[in-house]
Amino acid sequence: MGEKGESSKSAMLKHAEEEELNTKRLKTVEGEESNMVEETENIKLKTSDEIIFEVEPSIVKEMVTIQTFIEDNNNETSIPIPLPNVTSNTLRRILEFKARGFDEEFVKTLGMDEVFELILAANYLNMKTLLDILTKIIADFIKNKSVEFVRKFFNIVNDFTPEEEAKIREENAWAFEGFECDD
Amino acid sequence: MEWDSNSDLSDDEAVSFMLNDDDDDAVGPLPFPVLQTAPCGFVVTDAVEPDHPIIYVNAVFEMVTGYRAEEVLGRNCRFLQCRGPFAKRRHPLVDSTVVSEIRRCLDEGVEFQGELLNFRKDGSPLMNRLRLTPIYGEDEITHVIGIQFFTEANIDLGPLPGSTIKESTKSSDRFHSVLSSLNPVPVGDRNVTRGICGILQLSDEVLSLKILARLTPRDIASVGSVCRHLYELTKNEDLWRMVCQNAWGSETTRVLETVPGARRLGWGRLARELTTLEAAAWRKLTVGGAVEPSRCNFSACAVGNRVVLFGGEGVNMQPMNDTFVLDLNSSNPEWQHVQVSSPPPGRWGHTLSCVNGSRLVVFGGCGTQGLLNDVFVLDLDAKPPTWREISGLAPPLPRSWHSSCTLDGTKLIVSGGCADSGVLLSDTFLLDLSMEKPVWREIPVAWTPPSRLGHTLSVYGGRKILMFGGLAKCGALRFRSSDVFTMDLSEEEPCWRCVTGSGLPGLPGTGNPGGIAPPPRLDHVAVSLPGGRILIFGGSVAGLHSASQLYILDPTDEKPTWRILNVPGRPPRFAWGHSTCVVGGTRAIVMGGQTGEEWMLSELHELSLASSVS
Repeated sequence: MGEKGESSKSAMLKHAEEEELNTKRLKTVEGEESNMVEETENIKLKTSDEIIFEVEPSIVKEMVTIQTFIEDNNNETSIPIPLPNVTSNTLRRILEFKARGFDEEFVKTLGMDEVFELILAANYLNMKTLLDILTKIIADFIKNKSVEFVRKFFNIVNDFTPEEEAKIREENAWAFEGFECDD
Repeated sequence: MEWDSNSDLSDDEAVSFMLNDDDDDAVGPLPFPVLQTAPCGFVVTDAVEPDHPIIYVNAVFEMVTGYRAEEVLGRNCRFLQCRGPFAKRRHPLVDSTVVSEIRRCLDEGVEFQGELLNFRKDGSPLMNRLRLTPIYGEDEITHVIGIQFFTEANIDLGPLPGSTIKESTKSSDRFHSVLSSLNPVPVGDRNVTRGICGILQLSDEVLSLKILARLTPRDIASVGSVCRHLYELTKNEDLWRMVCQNAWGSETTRVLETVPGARRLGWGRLARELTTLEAAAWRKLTVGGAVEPSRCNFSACAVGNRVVLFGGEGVNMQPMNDTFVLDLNSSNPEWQHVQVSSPPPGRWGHTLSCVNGSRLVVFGGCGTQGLLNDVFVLDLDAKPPTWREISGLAPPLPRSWHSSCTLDGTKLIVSGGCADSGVLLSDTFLLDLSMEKPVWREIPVAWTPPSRLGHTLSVYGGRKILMFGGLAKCGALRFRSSDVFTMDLSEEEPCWRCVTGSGLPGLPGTGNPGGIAPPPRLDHVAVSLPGGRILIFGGSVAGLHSASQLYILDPTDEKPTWRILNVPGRPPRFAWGHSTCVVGGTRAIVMGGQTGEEWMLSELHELSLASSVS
């Protein structure tokens, strides 16, 4: 319990912490300069259909859910991270989308079910940019559309009773009318 | 857009809910893959709290069981074993050995898989193929996740006590329609047909914030008619506030919020009324105090709920320089003279606009020494309120009867007017008052509308301006105009575009009048409505036309069309030279106006666009 022993131990710990800090800084710098050779490994993600994807850490950073999980687990990245709600098709699409710089036009070529799956995955993975783009596309698509169209589009069952529906339609009649005008 | 269904849905938003939890014992993704390819009910319970209260249910749970989330949160799941919401005890047909097995597994902290009879809210039976998984935190179970795969139960129970036969038929029909749309398929088949709509599996928060908030007020009202869940979501005031902000801009929403809470309509109601204008009405407003000496050709502007008036032309055509404030928030509004130390030189035919929140900017006009092009800013909330001259470099030509408006809440736009020797102008200048040292900048355009005075400039759609009417130059003559020109100042090279016109030759876009255009006029009033529409009335109108008719135009329409707006109440009588400002976003206060009578600024006319809360 001598002071000397403690101080050398604490010095050793301090040194180790500093080294770790420097390594982290180095990794951050490298992460920012994406053209540099990666010292950091690709992150392995395992989709619900048991397919393993190797994804660059810079991309995983956008998947806040996974990023948080990694950080909570002391940056342990050797084992594949399971994604039980994301199929390989969906993950593939997400990576493709990202590679195209989140081109909205690309999304419009996909099937509607696929877009919904992407939204659910983006929501689960907490990918803000992707979610914003996809939800904006959905919003644009249902703008100025009839009630029936929205039901069909989302495959929503009309669960109002006929009386309820009549009452609500009346309440919301202004949505379907024009101005008070004198044409 | 092409849509096809060739992919399956997955359903696990409860997990994202947990992963976004801020607690220290938040855990990672589920340790097992969710094999069900048909949508499932999802329930999360808090295993630390006594009796495992439900903390989350997903939309499938809600739709299939008929119980809304708010009805079940905080309760233990066992209510599903009771038939209907009023039963207190487990239904005898529920297998008690299975219930004991569930109990045992939870106690031992192991997973349970099995099948149990449950009941919908309307009493109809469900088979619940259930999987319960404990989730571990540091060293104890913190949550239990329940995945429920519901199927029809072939049990005849007879009618639910207290319900009519008609009701139970109806509810079972609904049950059928819901379950048939689920279309369960054998596990392993990837080509599942679409079941419950994917979008309702998103959390209410994402659905509201990301999708619904982007829709227009009319769309929200329409979406509210789609199904119960969406009806409930569209009743939310916070959603309506976001919708209003997205539809009308943050500047407009901010102004609407300056009305004190007690007097303010809810956002939902406001959105509706400002869209339909169903509650618009003329009212007479009697206020106290007096603007003395009396005057005409003053300028008035609203700051929040206060009306500020500056200058004007006195009895002997004398330019005035005093400042008055009328606080419409007070229970007894009255004109108050504002003591300022160094007011700007007196003037009439100038413009007064609101900038930078609670400041007012005066430009131009005719003073004792002739036409002016100086800029003064009043800080109304300073103690004491102070006018300060802004010496902007390269100012526009001195002028009067020009028009002005404020862009982005910080930039003063000035256009047209009458310069020395009666020359009419057609230029457009911008002064950015958010800068330390504001500099005037002329907006260079290839073509300008005919020069004019007594016209109006209104801002709409963020950074677009609309010019209407005025006395316009036509060769050697001047005519009253009913032309509409717009300019988009967010463009790299803004240019004037003609929207609808009176058919003057040589102008682009003329000959396309839409609807019933207002008779040509000058010195009229233009009010910008939330959402971009413009309201026109009053002014000096040629011939026998009534000036008090209200006209409305939406420049954002594909084919902008003038419409007449019929509004109850008595408008100001045939008059021009009004000064109008919009208070609190919904009240257009009309002051003065050349009626040939004595100025009665103690009686104002108000065009209220929305109902008032008494």
